[in-house]
Amino acid sequence: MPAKNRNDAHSNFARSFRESLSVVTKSTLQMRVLGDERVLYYEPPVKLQRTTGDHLYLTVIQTYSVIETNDEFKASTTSYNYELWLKRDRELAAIVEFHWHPSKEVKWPHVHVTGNSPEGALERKHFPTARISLEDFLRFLIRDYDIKALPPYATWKEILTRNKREFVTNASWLYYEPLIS
Amino acid sequence: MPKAKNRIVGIKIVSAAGFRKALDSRARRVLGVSGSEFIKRYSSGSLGPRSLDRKPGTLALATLCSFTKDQSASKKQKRRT
Repeated sequence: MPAKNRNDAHSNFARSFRESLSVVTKSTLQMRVLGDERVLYYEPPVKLQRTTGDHLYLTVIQTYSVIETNDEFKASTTSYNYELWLKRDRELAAIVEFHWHPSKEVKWPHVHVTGNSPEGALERKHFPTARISLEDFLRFLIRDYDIKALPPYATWKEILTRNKREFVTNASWLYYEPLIS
Repeated sequence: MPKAKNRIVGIKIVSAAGFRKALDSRARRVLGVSGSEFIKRYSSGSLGPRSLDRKPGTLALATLCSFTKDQSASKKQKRRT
């Protein structure tokens, strides 16, 4: 959401990010500020309750800074890591990881999936994706991994729909164009 | 200390020391090394792009690495440029 000053732009983004996460967890999100860039993250991974009674684990890292556009300020994502993990023999094993980290070697948004193919292991392949919002990821967890939503259906649906709409309205990009050319 | 008006319910702003502790805990869990050892290897370039992708969770560690700098050092750097 565009804001009148940098502080409000930072706060608006963080508040909306935390609100979306509140659909699946009450855990306190941590923030580190360095200059004008910020990182929102969970450490340790957050335990998520499944409707089937067992648990999976969530890690989230979102980095962003605030940019000025037409006398307004808005938050701009600089990277994201949305990951789902399973605890096996006291160790966490990755299930699926949605990444976008343009300052590293692979610049397009992608997903890593743990599994095997006739050719070999899949988890280190970078399957290209569109830009994934946190809200897309959370809906995916609820729908496909039976993660239990904490608020009633109407409430969580309203939160994720509203914040996703905000994301689409303000995103400076949604698709990684070099993949099209 | 963050100003009260900047506080957001459900979000805690961590200090440089708190952040390094979190990085250490993650590095030990993901790679079995200390946070300072990971920073040393990453900063020296001994972890190439392929190494970062080899094990789930390593790239996230590299992302966090850039936030380990001291805030005051970052401000001084900004003033110089």
